[in-house]
Amino acid sequence: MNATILRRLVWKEYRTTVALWLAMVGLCFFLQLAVVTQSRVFLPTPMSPEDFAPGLYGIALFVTALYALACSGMQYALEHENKTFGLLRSLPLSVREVAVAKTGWAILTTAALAPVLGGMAFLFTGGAGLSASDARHASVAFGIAVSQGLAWGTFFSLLSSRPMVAILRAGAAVTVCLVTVSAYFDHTRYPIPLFLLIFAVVAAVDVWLALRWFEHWKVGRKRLQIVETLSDGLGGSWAMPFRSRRGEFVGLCLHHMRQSSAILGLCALIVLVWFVGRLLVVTEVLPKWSEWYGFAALSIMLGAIVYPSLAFHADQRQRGYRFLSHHGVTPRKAWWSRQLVWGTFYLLLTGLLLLSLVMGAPLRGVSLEEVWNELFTRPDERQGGFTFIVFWVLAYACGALVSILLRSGILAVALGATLTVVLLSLCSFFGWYIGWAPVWLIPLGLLVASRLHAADWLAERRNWRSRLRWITPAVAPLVFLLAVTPYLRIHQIPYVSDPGFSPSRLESQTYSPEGVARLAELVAIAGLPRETIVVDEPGDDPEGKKTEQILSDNAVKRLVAFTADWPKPSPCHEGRWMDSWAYLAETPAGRLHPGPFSLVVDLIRSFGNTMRHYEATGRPREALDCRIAISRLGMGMGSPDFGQNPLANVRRSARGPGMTPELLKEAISRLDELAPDRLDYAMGLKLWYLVTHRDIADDDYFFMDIGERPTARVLLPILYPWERTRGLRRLRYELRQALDRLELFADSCADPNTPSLDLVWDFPPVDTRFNDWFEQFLLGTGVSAPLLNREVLAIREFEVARRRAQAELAVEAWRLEHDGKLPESLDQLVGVYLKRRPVNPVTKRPFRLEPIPAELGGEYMITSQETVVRSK
Amino acid sequence: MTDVVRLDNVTKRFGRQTALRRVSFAVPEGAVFALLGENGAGKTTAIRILLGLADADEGKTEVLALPSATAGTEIRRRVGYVPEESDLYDWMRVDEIGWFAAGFYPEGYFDRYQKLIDAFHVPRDRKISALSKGMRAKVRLAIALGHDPELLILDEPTSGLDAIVRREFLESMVDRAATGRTVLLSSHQIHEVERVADHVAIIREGELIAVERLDAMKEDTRRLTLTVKDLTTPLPEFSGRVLRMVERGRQVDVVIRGMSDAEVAVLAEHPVVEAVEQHPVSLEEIFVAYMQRNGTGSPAGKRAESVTAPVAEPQGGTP
Repeated sequence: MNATILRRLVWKEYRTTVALWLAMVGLCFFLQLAVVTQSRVFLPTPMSPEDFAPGLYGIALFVTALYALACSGMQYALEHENKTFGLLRSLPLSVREVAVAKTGWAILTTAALAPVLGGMAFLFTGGAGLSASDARHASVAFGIAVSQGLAWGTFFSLLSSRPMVAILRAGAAVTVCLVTVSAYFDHTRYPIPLFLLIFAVVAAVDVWLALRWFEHWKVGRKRLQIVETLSDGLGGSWAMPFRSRRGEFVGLCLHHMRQSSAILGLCALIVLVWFVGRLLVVTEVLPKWSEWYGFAALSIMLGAIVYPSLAFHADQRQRGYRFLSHHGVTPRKAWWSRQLVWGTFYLLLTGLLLLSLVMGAPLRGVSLEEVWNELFTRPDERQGGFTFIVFWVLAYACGALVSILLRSGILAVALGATLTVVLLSLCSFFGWYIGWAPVWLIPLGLLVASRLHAADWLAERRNWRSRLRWITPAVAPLVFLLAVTPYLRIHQIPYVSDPGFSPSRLESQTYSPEGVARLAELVAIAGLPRETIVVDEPGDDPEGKKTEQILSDNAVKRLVAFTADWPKPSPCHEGRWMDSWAYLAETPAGRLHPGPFSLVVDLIRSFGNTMRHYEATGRPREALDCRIAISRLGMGMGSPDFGQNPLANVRRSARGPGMTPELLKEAISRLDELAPDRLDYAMGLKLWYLVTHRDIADDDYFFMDIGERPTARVLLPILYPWERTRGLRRLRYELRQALDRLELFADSCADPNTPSLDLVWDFPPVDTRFNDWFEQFLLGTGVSAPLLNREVLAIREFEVARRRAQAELAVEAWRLEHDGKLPESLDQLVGVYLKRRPVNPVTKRPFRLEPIPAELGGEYMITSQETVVRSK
Repeated sequence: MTDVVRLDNVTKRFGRQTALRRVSFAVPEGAVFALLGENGAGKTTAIRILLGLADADEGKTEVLALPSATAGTEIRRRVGYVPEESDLYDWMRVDEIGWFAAGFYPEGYFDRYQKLIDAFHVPRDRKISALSKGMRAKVRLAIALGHDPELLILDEPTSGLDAIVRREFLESMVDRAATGRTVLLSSHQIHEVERVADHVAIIREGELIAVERLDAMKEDTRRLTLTVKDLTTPLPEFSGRVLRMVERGRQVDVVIRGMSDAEVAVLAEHPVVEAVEQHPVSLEEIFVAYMQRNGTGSPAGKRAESVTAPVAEPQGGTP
């Protein structure tokens, strides 16, 4: 075999298939990108890159197998379609050399594609690979799919003069072969010998046919005539176009019907196999079919792209459209008749798919209403139904446009698939971003583009005006949506002129010496030596022991004193925050320490350990001091979350030895200092912290979900610069809302006659569409702003807990003075231990004492619920 | 003079259909040999068998003294072949397709190809898809001539070309024959072939019905217009082989082979015949006459069966 000849043949094959190869790389890239991005929309919790690995590697292997099928399916048939078979045959080539070059090239490029697409998956997953079992499973399935694709593709390519039909036939054959053979075997043990046998038989026939390709291809083709006759049967030879001018449109429809019947027949076969397979899976007649469920579903998804991409193909081949133009068919009729036929068939195909879904759901015990709700009315806005509808329409529109633009069916399908995936991602982006309604402009624009191009197509005009005629409507919706999105995004948030604070003003102020001194005090306390104790606490430790650090008595005393007059009344509305030690986080004094927040968190942890240690060692008074001090410390750092838990278990500290009613009364009055009129102070601190730490939030939260990818750090702020503006605008709005709510809450707490505070929270919500997917990991301001409302809720809950804690301390004081007996009601405590009867500030219902029967464990509970549900 | 191409009793069947039936002819070196026949007569099949692209069921073929059945690739390497209904790779440029083909031929192919392309005034850097039909035909011819083959086989080479390109094309065949190279061509353009061919073979329904030098064929064939006195009286016996006879009232047009001038004079003296007029005969007329199924044997007593349809007048006659 002559090396020069092989090199030239391989060069020709390279030039013929390079577009397909690159199209497959593009298709795989966009499919993988779509999976990564769309999963953020559809999945309730973000997935780690490792979780994507099976899906992304699966796509890489599937696309590679698809390429093997397409490449081998087109290589021989393309010579006939392009009429280059004669030229090839006229050259001094042996058919063996041609076959070796073609088959070798198909195998070589498939082998080259796999690592490229696998590498792409590797990058998408951030370097994660497949597990050993997944890799084994995937490599076997991949080997089977590729070998079958190559064998069947070559087989049909040798017997066909239309590459697209050869590929579809091969696709149908491979699908049927894989699904039927696999139906009888467990996925853990693939019927490799059987697949090898099928491959060997088909490959042997391929070799036999290939060696006779120069001479016998027409003779061999006759054996396929029965198949062609069957597949053409749907259209029927009764389709007689152009019989009369009046019946021209009907004739055109029949003409298209006949043209589409072969492709439709093959698509219908694939759909039917999938449909029957699905029914057999859901009825558990053949549960093993589920192995190929994903594969078949993906095939159908691609089928939905392939079918419309061939809408104009029959008239594109060998310039068949000249037949239409020579018969005076107007572009309007040529286009509309085709849409009528292909659109109807497309609806039939997709309808069959929908039917299988609808029929499958009840068989699996899922009601249709649940399916509907899942697809279209999910409250979390992950309504996949819209995306699927957009997909079907978009696939059709993309197919209609590329098939009228390109004469090559293979390229039309490849480009149609890629375009569909790209535009689907964009549609999804816009859908979640600014709503689904404007998204329909994109497929509409594509259909209009194909309609406008119909005249130039028939007239064979290829100048810049004709190009502009279809490019304009195709691109205009995209440009419009891309241009309008930032504007809409920013203006989704109402503009607030006065958010109630001014970070710039704050930053121009100098910090107070008092604040520096307080931070120094806190640092000094944290630096005091601590004790390590061993506590009994069954948990992770098998011996049920663990060590804890507790503060020294001296440190506890200094901490309690530190919090005694803190937080000071300093309403954030007036911007007088200079006394806050939190501000010092940004000062040179603050930088002496790793950070006030971590410092306080560390202290609170040790403080809590100390408190429990005091309770366990019979020092209730100190424990109670600790509880209140921890609450104050948490409030002081702007986060009531830290202060809430100690109050929830205040009863435990109130029962230790040495506890007196006087001590409890004192604790109750100290809790008064944390009443709502002071809580806004903590809120202010929190807001201020978020604003001043915006850059930190950008760095820390911005990339939290997308990992440590340097490209994301660089690209995302460039790609979405308007989000920063929107984030700041939203921050102002959320801040204003939070402050208003806080003020209303404070007013409500001060006025017991207010019926309910629920209305207080009914502000118009910010349009948070797309936040789950986008903002949470894209912008720090987007992260910080939602925390404000959470903060307000925490303050509300803290106030409920504070009032309940006061009531509990009063009950415990009563029991100390009445030999452990409970009061009949909380009213007995008013005037003695409590200033007034405690009321739940949210529900406006009074708290009451509810004894718990001994058979249920005894004791009592403080509740404002009208009926208490109890259970054993 | 040696034979460059030889077919010896070649039979080829496709299923039940017989494409060639015991066809034998030889193409002498330096000849322009035209293979004529209707669509589906078997011309292309014969060429494919010659080039080793199809196997003969019976008989032997040789090209350049190489057996076609076993040396097809070698034959195609030494022969230039322009196939029927073939197109070029649209996506290649003119020079690219020459470079591509050069890989299959000996050294020097590409230089000659480029010279031919320049001589044909085809832009080298233009894509094939941007070429006109005539330019494509020239590229196809340049590909076939790039290795200066001893034998050039053209299967319907001028189909679809305009008159000027066709003339240029065929004249290049004459130039080629003048250098001692052999050309075998099949064509429907009979009057064009007539300009260049010196040997002709006519195939009808797979059977070879005539093969000889063109000038001899034309010399041996006469077209007579007989004016008869009486329509009811049978015509006299013709001494030659009547290929075709058409009646137009009292006039009878006859294409006949193997009739001497003396025999024509005798015919003119026949009592039924009022006058005999001789016309120069063209290859097209001979071809059309051969394609008539009832054009053989003596017309005597068969006037009722003779062709009565009008025949197109010869266009331009013999050059």
